[in-house]
Amino acid sequence: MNNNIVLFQQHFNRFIKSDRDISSFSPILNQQLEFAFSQGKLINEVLIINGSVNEANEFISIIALNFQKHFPDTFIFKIDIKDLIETNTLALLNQYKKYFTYCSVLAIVNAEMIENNDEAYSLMKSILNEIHESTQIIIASDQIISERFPLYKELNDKAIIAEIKKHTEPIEAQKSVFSNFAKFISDIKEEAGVNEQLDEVEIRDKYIEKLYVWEMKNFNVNRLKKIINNRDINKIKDEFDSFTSKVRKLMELHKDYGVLNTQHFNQDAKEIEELLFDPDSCDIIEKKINELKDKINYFRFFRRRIKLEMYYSNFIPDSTNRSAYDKITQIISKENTDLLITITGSAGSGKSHLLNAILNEMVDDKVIILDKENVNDAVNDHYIQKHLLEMEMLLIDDFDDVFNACSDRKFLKQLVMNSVPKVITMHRKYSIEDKELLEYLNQYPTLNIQPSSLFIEKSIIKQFLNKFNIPIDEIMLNYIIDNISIPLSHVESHIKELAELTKEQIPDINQIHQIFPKKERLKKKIKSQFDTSNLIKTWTNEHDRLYVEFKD
Amino acid sequence: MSIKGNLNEASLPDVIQLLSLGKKTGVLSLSDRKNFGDIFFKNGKVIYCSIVNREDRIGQILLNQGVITDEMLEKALQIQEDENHNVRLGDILVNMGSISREMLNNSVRRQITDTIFTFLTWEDGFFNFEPDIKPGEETITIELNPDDILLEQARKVDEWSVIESELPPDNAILMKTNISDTLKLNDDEIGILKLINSRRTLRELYERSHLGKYETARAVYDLKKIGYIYEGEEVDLQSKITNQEQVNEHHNLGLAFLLTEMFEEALREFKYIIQIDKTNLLANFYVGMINFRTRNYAEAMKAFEELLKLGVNNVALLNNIALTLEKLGQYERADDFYERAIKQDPENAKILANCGILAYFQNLLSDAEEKLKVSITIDPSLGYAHYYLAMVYLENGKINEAVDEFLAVTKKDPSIWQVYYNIGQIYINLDKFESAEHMLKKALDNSDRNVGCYKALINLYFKDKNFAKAEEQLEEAITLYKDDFDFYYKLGNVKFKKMDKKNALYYWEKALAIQPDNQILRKTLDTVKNG
Repeated sequence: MNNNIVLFQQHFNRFIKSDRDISSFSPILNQQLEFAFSQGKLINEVLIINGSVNEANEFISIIALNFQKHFPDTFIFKIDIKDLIETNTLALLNQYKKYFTYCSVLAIVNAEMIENNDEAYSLMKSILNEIHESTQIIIASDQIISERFPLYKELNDKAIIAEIKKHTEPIEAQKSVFSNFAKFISDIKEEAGVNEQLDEVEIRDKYIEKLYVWEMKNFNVNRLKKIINNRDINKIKDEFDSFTSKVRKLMELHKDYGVLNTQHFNQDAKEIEELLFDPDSCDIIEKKINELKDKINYFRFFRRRIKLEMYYSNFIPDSTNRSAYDKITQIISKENTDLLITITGSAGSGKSHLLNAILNEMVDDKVIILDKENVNDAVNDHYIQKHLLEMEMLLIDDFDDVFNACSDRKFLKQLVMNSVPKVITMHRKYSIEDKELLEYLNQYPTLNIQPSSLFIEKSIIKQFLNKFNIPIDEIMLNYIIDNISIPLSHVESHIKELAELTKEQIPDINQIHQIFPKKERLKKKIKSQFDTSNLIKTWTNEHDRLYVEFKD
Repeated sequence: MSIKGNLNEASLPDVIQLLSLGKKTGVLSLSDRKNFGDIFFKNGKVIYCSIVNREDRIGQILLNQGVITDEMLEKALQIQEDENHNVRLGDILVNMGSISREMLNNSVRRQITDTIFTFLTWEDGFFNFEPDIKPGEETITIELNPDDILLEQARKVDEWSVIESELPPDNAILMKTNISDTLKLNDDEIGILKLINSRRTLRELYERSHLGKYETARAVYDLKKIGYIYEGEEVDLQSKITNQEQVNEHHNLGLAFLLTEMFEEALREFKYIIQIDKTNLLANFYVGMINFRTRNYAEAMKAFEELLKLGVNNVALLNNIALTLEKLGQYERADDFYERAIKQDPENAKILANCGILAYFQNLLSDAEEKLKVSITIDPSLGYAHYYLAMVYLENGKINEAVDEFLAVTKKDPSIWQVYYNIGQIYINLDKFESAEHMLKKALDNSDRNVGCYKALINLYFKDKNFAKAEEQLEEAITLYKDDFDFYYKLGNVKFKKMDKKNALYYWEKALAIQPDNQILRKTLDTVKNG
């Protein structure tokens, strides 16, 4: 394994297994864990754990190991400031800065030490400044962090703070979406109970009082109003008991719903929220919450194909890809009006990079990507098919391959021809043999990315050589460019192999050829199966094959 | 179907009369190998004429002749611009009152008759009639009876040889003598004398005069003979025009020659351009193309490589280089150039088809099939893509698919007899003799009785043991191909089978006369004669 990666993992990706029962954590951390186990993310953008770094470390390890097992597309990195200062390895923060930018959760442990160390402060400030907005942050410290902490105000505004007292009960959360909710549940429990020993008049009054309380809390109490004047006190009691039990269920559903990340499904969330105070709609709410859970899961599933390293700002535009780049810029800035855009180009020309740039930029929109690996999951399930129709944009990478790999081309064709905006990439449009589909694609703009210019090839190869710490001079760089015949999209893995071979030394020509083999013809000769010796084998006017028009 | 030939073999008046009698519509292109011109016909009437690089814009002609002024022309052109070129310039000038309709028609008539007169003076050259081609929308046309023109111009042509021999060269400046008495002169001569100003050459006089070439030359001839004018110094006409104008003239001529497949002349014109401007991309491109068409592939390659050196890297050039390399047998280099072109334009049917065809020649059949199929999807009209896809199918043993592809070619262009020929050969291989006969006969009809088609058909009859039909075809073939050994030899064989020894010996003797060293036939003859 590459030394760099080993070093990185030793410092930032090492978590110790813990058997601690999660219920023994403070309620805030407990809730965070429950949420994280089901959703693969924390509840809040920033979680500050004050008071016990040891407990925080345990908490972080439990989440990290759970994610590794159940959410392999998430990355948790832990920066232990104390460890870095003591081992004099703060410089690693700079070296691996780009990795932190796109991790799912970044944990900063012994965070208070940043405040008194200028180098740590400046490095962490730079990391926190550039961190992707989807990355969640855990800040753990023995002491409360102060305004001297980098980006203190911004982080604090978004944070939920868990105060942990050593060997004592955890302090209540300063602000939590669940604090009010917990109180609400206890209120309900109290309010739902009616003292049996009161006389009937008092009991009736008590029930009327309860009804008002329910009503004030915005519950739908129409059923109770109908029965409240009934002569039979038992019927009132039964109705109130039934109502209370439904409210209890509703509370469970509230809790269920509260942990869902509804960011991309506002309409569904609105529909559920409108019903959340109607005990008679428990079944409908439960059904809708389950559907929403599915949608979130499917969304995550299709979004999982995103390549984080391919973002908009590291795409290199030039004359070979300008038209496609401009179109993607329009899409990202919501100025595009074309329903469908096809981007064609050979392997390694940057098509997938542009699609992933859309995904990376449009994180708040319902945009998903289909490729040959996940297409059959998409087309073989009626439920997912419906889900696909609700997307705001659909991206299909290498549609030629997707079309060939797809087990239900009819549905895929309908999907391409429906009203959901789409961007699709293809090696070449006419490799699709379906005439109707081709005619449809031809109605919309097709942007071709020309073969990469030398400038782009050089920039990308340089980028990867730097990434894998391969020292190289201009002559050797030119030699690689002249001799590489693989698409740019495959260059990274080859350079990675080269890095393992050269061990941070300048590679020699033999090593380059070992990794980048010369172009081989993959075409296969087939022996003739019919006697064509008597036939006229050449076209009568071979000059028909010539270009007679010349445009400079 | 076009009518073409050499002016040595068929006289121009005959050709014009033929088109007139046939009430043809189209364009008769003519060339004396240096110049190129067109006569447009509509239902047998001559409606317009032009010569490449000679002024044929009505506005400029009228201006040169002093009929209209610069201001009038400018105004008329502006009106035409405002009307989005929907109105013809001649009509605008008439509507403006600058000229009368009669003057306009006279001017057009004079241009037609003058041009036909020039054509009639061409003794050697080439003609080609393409039906259904009309002059441009902008052109003012009038209908003239070809017989009348010919009658009038034929007389002039007879006299022309006498006049021409006495005329000063076209580039000579004409000078007046001190004789100023014009009483003895006719109107034409007075008009011409007025135009002579010690600066104009004879060629400029032709352009300025509204009399027409013959009448102008006649007046100059007479004026010179009676001592009113004399021949001054000759000027270099080429130096009077800019390099760009020269390039344009050669380009126009080159293109006209190229379109009529006069490759030698076209090549000459484009080479002239390269002499003037070595970096002229278009001229180099055409030189490459013409050399390709005349199968001088090495020369074609040189011209195309010149363009590469000049920094051209477009798909047209890459394709043509690849195709030329293919013809030179350099398949791997050709493949590289096709790949470069495909990378630039992955949806280009022509290049994909060409790349597929190259793969077929390299026996890379899967690759060939894939590329040819895609190219046909993009552009189903590419006949050669269907043709080679059929060949690929055959190599893969997919006979029905191959026949379908061949038939797809005939649907687009039934004149491609090679397709019928190939289908015929396929049917022979499959022992479907009746279908094969049908296809080979179609090949024979469409190929203008091609010798290969006769041979294939005769072989079929031999294979089918249908000697009567073989005999019939052989007898027909030898009337067209009198030097073909096979036909005589096989006809001898057929006669011998019919016990017609006399005729058998007759045809074998004929065959032996073509191949006197054929010992087998000699022995056969001796045996039969003595037996």
